[in-house]
Amino acid sequence: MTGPARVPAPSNRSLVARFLSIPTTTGRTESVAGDQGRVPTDEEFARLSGELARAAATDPLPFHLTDSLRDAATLATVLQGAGDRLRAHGLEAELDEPQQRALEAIVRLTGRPALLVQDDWIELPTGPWEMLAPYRDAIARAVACVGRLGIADGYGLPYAGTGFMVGAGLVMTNRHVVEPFAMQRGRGWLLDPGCNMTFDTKEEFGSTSTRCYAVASIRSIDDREDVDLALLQLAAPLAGAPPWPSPLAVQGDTKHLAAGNTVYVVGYPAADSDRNDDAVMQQIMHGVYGKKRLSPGRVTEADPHDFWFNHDCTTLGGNSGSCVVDLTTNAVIGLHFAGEFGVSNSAVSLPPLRDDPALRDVSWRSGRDE
Amino acid sequence: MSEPPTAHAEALKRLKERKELADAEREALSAEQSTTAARLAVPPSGVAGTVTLGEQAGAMETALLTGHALKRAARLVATAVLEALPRMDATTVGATAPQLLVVPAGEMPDSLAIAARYTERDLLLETLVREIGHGASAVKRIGNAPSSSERDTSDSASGTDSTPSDPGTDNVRSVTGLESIPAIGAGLQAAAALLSYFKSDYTIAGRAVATDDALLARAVAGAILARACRCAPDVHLPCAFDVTHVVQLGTRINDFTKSIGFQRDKAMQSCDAMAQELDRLASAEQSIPADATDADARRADIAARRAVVTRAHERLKAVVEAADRWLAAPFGDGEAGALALREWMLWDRMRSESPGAHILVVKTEQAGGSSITVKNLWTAFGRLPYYLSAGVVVSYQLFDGATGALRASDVFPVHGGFISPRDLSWRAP
Repeated sequence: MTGPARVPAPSNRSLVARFLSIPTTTGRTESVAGDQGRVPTDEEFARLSGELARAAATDPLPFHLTDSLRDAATLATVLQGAGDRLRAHGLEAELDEPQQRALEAIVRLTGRPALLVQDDWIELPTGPWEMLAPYRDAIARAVACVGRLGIADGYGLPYAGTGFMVGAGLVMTNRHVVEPFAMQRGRGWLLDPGCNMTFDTKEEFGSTSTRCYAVASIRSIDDREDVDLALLQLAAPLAGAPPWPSPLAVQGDTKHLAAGNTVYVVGYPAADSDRNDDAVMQQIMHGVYGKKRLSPGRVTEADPHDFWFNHDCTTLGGNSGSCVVDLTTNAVIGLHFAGEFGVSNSAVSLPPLRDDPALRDVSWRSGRDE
Repeated sequence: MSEPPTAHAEALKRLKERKELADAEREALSAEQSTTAARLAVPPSGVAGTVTLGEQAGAMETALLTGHALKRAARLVATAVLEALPRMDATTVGATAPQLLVVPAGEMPDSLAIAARYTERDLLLETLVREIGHGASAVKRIGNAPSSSERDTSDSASGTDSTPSDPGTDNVRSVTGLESIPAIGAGLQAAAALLSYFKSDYTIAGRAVATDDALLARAVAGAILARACRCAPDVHLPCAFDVTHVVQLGTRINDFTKSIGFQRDKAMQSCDAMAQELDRLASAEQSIPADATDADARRADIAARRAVVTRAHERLKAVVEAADRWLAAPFGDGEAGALALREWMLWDRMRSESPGAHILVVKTEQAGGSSITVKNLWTAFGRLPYYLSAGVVVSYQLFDGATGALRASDVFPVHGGFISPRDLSWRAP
C-alpha cells in the first residue's frame, strides 16, 4: 500500500485565496466552495489566535506550527501583520513564513475537511468538527449506505459517480451520472448492458476490500430540468454475498431544511483540476482521489419551495450523487449535483419531492401529514 | 686318367625322374583346384568396410533423443513451478486449487496489438458518448434560453453533462468539439493503422517457434500433473483445449462490442431528434410573416440555431458510420481478422482467468543434436561406430495473474549425453 502523495507547499497566492474564501456568514471555513470573504478584523484575529493556541496546545501536529508560534499573543501579532498586508494587497499580498504558517493553521482549524473513510468510519478531526463525535454511530450507518458507481473499462472514466441506498435495493444518484449509459425506450430507460454498472459501498483508502452489488436497471430518471435525480435498482445479492445495506432515511419534511444547518456529504471525490485550484485541492485531498470521504459543512442557502439548496461541504467531480445528510436528524436532505470553485455547491432538495410518485419506494422519514 | 661315367648319369637320371613326377603332381593338383573352383564359384561382395552417412542420417534418432531431453527439462520446470506456486491448504473445507495457465511463448498474445484494438474501441465509444451529449445540448438550446452561466459545474466523474441549474453548459465545449472533429477521424484512422501494423507484425512472426514451445508446454503440464497430490494446481492449456471459452466466445465478443452497439442506437435516436428539430426550425422560419418588423432578426436567429443543430447532426452521423464499420468487423477483415480474433480470444481467456490464476510461459530456446563416428578395435568385431547426442535449452516465467508480478523465472540447459542408436530403444521414458 502506498501512502498519500507528498503535499507540495501551497503558493502564497493559493494560501491567501483559501484564507479569503472562508465564508464569514456561516463560520470560518476552508472550502472548495464558499463565498469570497473579507479580511478579519484585528479583534477577530485575536479571538482566532486564542482558539488556535488552545487547539495547538492539545494537539500541535495538525497545525504545523513552530514552537515560537504556539502562544496566543505571538500568534495575534503575526496574524494582525498578515491582516494588514491582506487588506493592502489582497490576493497579491506577500506574506513572510510565520504569517503563512499562522494563516495555514487557521485554515486547518476552521476549515471544511474531506475526511477519509476507513472501515466505515472517519478519524475525527481536531477543532470544531469534534462536534461529530456524539453522532458517531449514526454517521457510521449513513457512511455504509453510500457507494461508488463503477463502470466497465471503455468509457474512459474511473467511475461514474456516487450513489446511496434509499430503499430496498434502491440507489439514488444524479441523472447526469446515469445518462451517458442510459437510453430511453418508451416511458422507461435502458441501461447499457456493456457498462456493467456496479455499486460498491467500500472503495476506501488503504483497503482493497469491496462490497459490490450489480446495478440491474434504471428505475427512473427525473425529466424536470431542475431535478437532477435518478433511481437505480440493484440486482439481488448472489448467494453468500452480504445483503443490501439498510437504506438511509430521506427527510420528507421541509421544515428541516434551513440555512446554517450542519450537514455532511459522503461520496467519492475525484481529481478535478479543470474546475478547481490544484494547490487547494491537493491541500485538502493529499493526493488521494476516488476513495470514500466524509465532508462536513453547513447549508448556506435554502428555500423550502425550491428544488435545490446550496452547501459549503468540500466536494469535487465524482461527488455527484452524494447524499447531503443533516447531522442532528441523520436524515438525507439533499442530493449533491454540482459545485463551482469558490462560489457554492448545490444539491437537489429532497423534502419537496416527498409526493413524487417516482419516489414512492424511497424510505421517507416524515411526510406531508406532519 | 679317365673316370667311369655311369654313377653321375644315374644320379642325374633319378633327379629328372623326380622332377617330372613333381611337375605331374602339381599339374594334377592345379587341375583339381580348377575343377573345385569351378564347382564352388562365389561373386565378389563389394563391401569396402567404410561407414557412409546420408543427409537425414540420425534425424529420427536425434528427434527422439531431443524428446528425452525435453522431458527431463519439463520435469525441472515443473519442480521449480510447484515450488513457486502458493500452496493450497488442503485441510480447508472449500479451498480451491490454484489455477495455472500454461502458455507456449510463441502463442503469447501481442499486448501492444491488443492494446491498439481496445484503444480503437474506447476511442469510438468515448466519441459516441461525447457527440450524443453535444447533440442533446444542441437540441436543448433551441427550446431553452441560454443560461447566464456557461460553465459546467456538475460533479460527475466525467463532468460532461449539463446540470439542472445550468442548461447551457455545453456551449464552451461544443466549440472545442467542432474544432476537434478532424482529430477524431485522424484518431480512428491512426488506431486502425496502428492495428494493421501490429497485425502484419505478428502474422510475420507467426508461429515459427510455436511447435517447439507447444511441445514443451504439454510436457510441463504433464509433469506438473504427474506430481498429482491434493495440493496440485488445476492446469489449463488454453492454446490446446478450451471448450468452455469457445462456448462462451459469442458472449465474450458480444461483451466487447455491445456498448458500441448501445451507444450507436442511442446516437441514431439523437440523430432522429435533431432531424425533427431541423424540420421544426424550417417550419418556424416559414411561419415568420414577411412584414414582421423583426423578421430579419428572427430568420437570422433560426439560421444560427439551424447551423448549430446541422453541425451536431453531421458530426454524429459521421461517428455512427464509423461505429457501423467497426461493428461489421471488430477484429478486421479476412485472414488477419481471424488471426486477430484468435489472439484476442487467448488474451481474453488469460484476462478473465488471470485475477485468480498464475500464468506460466514456457519457451524452447534451443533444441538440436549432433553425431560422432568412432572406429576402434571393437568396431572391427561389428559394433556400430555411430553415436548421437541431443539437448535442449528451455526457459520459463511464472506470473501472478492478479498483479502481473513475476513469481519465478529460470533457464534449464539439458544435455542428453552421447548414445548409440541401438540404446535408444531401451532408453525408455
